[in-house]
Amino acid sequence: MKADITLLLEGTYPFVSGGVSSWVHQIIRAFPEWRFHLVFLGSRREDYGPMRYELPANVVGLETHYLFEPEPPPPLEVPEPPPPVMGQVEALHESFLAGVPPAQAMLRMAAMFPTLLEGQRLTRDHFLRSRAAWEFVCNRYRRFCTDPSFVDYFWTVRIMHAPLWKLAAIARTLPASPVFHTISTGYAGFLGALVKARHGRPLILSEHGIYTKERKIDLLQAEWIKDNRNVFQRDPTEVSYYRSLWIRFFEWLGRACYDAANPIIALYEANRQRQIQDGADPARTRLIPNGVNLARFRPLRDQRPARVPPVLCLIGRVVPIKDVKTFIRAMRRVVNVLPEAEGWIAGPEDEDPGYAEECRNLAASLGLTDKVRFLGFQKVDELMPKIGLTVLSSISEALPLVILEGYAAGVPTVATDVGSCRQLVEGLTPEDRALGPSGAIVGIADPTALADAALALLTDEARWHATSRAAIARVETYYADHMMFDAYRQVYRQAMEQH
Amino acid sequence: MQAKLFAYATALEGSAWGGALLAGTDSAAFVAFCLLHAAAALTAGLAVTALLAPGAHRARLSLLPLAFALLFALPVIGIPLTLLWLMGVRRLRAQHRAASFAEVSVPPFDIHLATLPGFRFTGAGSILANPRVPVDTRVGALLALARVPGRIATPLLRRVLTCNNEDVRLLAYGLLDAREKRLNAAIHEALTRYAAGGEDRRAQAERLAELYWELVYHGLAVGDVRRHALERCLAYADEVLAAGPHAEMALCKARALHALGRLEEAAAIYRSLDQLPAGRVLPYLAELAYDQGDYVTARAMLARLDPAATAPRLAAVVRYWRAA
Repeated sequence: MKADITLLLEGTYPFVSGGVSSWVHQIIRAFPEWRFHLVFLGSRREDYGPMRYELPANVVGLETHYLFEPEPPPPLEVPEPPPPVMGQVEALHESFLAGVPPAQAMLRMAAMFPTLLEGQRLTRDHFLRSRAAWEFVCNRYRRFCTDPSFVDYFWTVRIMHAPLWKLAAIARTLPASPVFHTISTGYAGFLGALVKARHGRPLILSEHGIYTKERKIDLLQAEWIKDNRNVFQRDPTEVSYYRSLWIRFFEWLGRACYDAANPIIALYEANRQRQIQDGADPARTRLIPNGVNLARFRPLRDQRPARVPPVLCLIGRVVPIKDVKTFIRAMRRVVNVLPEAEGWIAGPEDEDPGYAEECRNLAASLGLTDKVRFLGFQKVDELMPKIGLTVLSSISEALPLVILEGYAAGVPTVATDVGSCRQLVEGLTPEDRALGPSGAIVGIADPTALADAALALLTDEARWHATSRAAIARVETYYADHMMFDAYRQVYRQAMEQH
Repeated sequence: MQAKLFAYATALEGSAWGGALLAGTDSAAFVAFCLLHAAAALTAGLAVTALLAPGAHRARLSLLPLAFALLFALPVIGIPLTLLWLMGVRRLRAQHRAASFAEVSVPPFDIHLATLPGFRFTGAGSILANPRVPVDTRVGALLALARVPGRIATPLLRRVLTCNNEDVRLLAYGLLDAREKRLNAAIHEALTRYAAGGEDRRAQAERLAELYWELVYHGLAVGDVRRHALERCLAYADEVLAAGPHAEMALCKARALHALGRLEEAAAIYRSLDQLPAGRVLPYLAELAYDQGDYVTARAMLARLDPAATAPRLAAVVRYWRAA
């Protein structure tokens, strides 16, 4: 059955639970009048378990692709690509150099898309295994590489480029739909640019976090990226060559997506500014904040006990970006001051089992085994009446749904000063601020401040009730899901009407 | 301390006069009066000398006979007068301190305000603390910190966690987390082996004491977690020491006690560490004396160290205190 909207999803719905996946589920269910086709991009099949969501009835197709699965053995004889095509590749890479206007690279990239999509003149084997490609790689190594290891350079280039042909193959076979909607830049965003070039249909981009930024931070710390310079060659303040090569690669993938997408949607202003800084056309950007289903959470307020439960709950995946360890460290102080308090960690642990184990070990080493409970995935509706605070110790967030869900159930929050958390707690506009704080904001990785803020709320019933009232008023006034759905209905209609 | 000495002095003086009035005019009563009055004058004199800085032994020795003579020569009114004088001195000191000193901070080193060409980057701290420095330069400074020992890098990285640029903030967090992760993994491994028991148990307790101390030493544990880490360090060190003498563990215990503010207990252990070379213990004794406000002892301890035979950072401290 032909879909109305194709969603391009990288490492998220329906195989990974979390804020972005919940949002995608919300969007699909909000528009039963439209049929959705889902394209899931993952790294390797073994990295994902079964589906975490029951697909709504209006999902008419789901295809899964894994970009880093082992490849079949290459042919023994690789034909040479036509020289003009390698010239095109050379010219495109020249336009990535510093000092060349990005618009020129975008034009050249757009010119490459038909070659990639047509799948004959520049195949993956052409680029990875032909003599012309070898000469190209050697030439660029001599001209630009500041790392002495050619072997590492050679493999970095190959590993970096290989997924692009997979994406081109997906784009070739992906059925046309009136609208394509990608939930991130990166590989999914690049696929979006390719399908737009193939089908000429609008591409919508909704970014929750900023993919390029998150990749950059990961890459700056990645231990698998080698730096082979010796002590005389190395400037300790300089990012190593391969690291910066990877960072630039994802920056250009992001630019390709920004160049193709319209509108480019962010959840809050700081992220919109970041998109512009990373190459998005300001005229195409817009804001649509998240929203929650108030009717679902409103009845939970009456289920709350008379006294505020001394329970701090971190609802989220147990992954490093949530900085669960800071929450556990904060619990050491909370329990020292308020011995009856408990810390609950409600979220799946299978995305990064190593990190989950580190968190459990930390709780044990701090003597908190009986005070910090790892609950695994839980239904939010069942948790909310039993907790006193939602806690978000994340080092990076966008506009966390879990805070809004807590608000809708009358639960204030203590959150770190990331993403739009300050706006959610203290208010954005003067009218919003006049509602009062709906929790507290603390700096990242500061367990003492987190604990003190939580204790201040949990030990002062009058203050807790005031923040709870502000939380309810804030979510009902500014973050109801129908506002978000109205905005997306308009975005989808406008895109469908484009010819 | 001063108040107690004055209370004793007043009591002695009262006893002297009470005895004299009751016993009449015989010579034995006079001798008793003189002895009690002398004791009162000496006690009050000690109270006066306590006014001086903790390390001013020589000045204290000079002042004591003078104060004693004055107080002995002024029966009855000597002690109240001295008390009034002391209160006046204290008030004057407080006023003097408030009026004479204002707090100023060192101007930040800002490479972007420097007009001279050829300026080279100096401290990573000044680059990271300056919001006008471009993000890429700050990222470079952070990457350089990845190669710097934890004790130096951690405070700088922690300061950057409040930076308003998310890239810089996240990178600083990642670097801190990587350091802490390595130590916690080692703690977990040691805890597992410790729990398994057997002959290895004492060695694992020793390792655990060292690892918990490392967490504190490198600034990776803060607040209540720091306290918890120090308490765990002490518990494991005690376990090792209960099985027999162990100079390194005793030093580790003393440092943990020192970090917890239990200075007297720490000092007692430092002083008992004869088995270790003086150069290993003296810096801690000097630091402890400094923490107690006993700068003369701190200087004396450092003077016993040879700057040429100590690590560069400590050598600079030794040279400073020798010159001061």
